[in-house]
Amino acid sequence: MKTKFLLPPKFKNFGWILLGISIFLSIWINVIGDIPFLADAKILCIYYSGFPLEPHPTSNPFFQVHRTNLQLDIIGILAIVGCLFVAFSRLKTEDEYISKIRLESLVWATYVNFILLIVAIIAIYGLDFLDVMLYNMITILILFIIRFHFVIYRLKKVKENEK
Amino acid sequence: MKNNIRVERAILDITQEELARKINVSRQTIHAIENGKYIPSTLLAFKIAHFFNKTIENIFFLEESDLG
Repeated sequence: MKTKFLLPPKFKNFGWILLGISIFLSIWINVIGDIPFLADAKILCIYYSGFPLEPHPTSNPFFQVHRTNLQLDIIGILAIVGCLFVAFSRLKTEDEYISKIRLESLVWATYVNFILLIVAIIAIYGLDFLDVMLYNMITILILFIIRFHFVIYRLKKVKENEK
Repeated sequence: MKNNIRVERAILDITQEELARKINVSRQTIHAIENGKYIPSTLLAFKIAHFFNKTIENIFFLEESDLG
């Protein structure tokens, strides 16, 4: 039984590399400083009203070229694509039992993710909540990756070649 | 549902790994089925029975609780 929508196994390593690059970039920016060509890049924005940064919002917010900080965009996309690749690439022996573990892990990750979000909604106020929303974009995938791989690891540890 | 895969394996003297490879699943799956943690799909149950050259009823057994 083949699970639909999964990626070939080799995407997993590729995903780890993308995730590594995004972590490396975020550490670089926090410790060493902005990457000039990304921090002040000219880019075609599909929608940008200028709110709340510009005092006078533009009359036509669609398809305008603006100077903007692309660093978070790049890190965000790398992290999301990396997590998706790691989470949803097929294992070498992906069978029906593994699919069941995959489904259970996804349900578990969804519950935990939104419980954490509810706690954050209750506990965190002000602009700091923006950070919560930022991390919450990928916490569901990270929780899934941790739970799924932990269960598989635990199963692999059970006595090898049991007679 | 119970099964006697472990017994059938012992008769043929093959490991979980070898059986898993023959029917194209992971060793963890065989382990989970043998320990009653996972009930295989009809297709996999047929494949296992076919491998041991038996019918499904000779490998898998319903329990009282399954009928409730």
